[in-house]
Amino acid sequence: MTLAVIGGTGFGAFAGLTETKDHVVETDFGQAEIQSGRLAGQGILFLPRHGMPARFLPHKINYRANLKALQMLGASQILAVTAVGTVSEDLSVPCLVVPDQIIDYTYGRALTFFEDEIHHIDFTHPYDALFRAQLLAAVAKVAASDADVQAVLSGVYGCTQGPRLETKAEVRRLRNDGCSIVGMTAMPEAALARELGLPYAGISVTLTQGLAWLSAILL
Amino acid sequence: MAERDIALAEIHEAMNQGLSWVKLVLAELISTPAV
Repeated sequence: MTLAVIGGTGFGAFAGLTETKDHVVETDFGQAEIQSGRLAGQGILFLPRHGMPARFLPHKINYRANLKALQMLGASQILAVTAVGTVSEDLSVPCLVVPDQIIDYTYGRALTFFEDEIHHIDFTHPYDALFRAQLLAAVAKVAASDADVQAVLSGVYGCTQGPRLETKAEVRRLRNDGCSIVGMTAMPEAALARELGLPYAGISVTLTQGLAWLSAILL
Repeated sequence: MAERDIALAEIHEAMNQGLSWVKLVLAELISTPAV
């Protein structure tokens, strides 16, 4: 079993990884940059989805090359780490959220490996049930051992196109749709993993209380 | 500008804190036999 970690914003390098080796993997869909190494004696793969150094905006990430390259290097499970804003007012910052559902608001991204054949994956539950259960157990154990750790064990990830932040009305729509967090990279990543048969689960870190609020402050 | 600096500092602080928790989770995850 080889765990692959896809790092998001702020997680472009993996401190603590030993015996690291950099790979540039050529796939039918383009190139991917992956680092292999060992963590606590176990071999893992690390893919910083924004590149190493970070340079790819969410809509410019080559999700197909990334997922295919992880498969080629022997990944058997994928943990996707994402930085998100909160939509639900109940979520604190920072907080770990293990989403169980996704709503896809993206457009124009290369979203399937099956360009020339009719193929419909079952995506009722976008995250792998077994791997997600293992992840939930790990999160629960960490939260139980450290009272400072804030964690929520379910949530709906609203995946927006970016790179701009959302308008106030868009955040209101996300809330009305039932989203609890908002980010820009879960899709088509999760669906492509499913197409390849790779168990995929996500863990998100909340950074702001609503991206519209962030936009109002920063811009 | 001052408000922007404060907001950015808060975001970086949240990011660092959150990622340190993610790494704890990761360590726990890989220590379980199923992974």
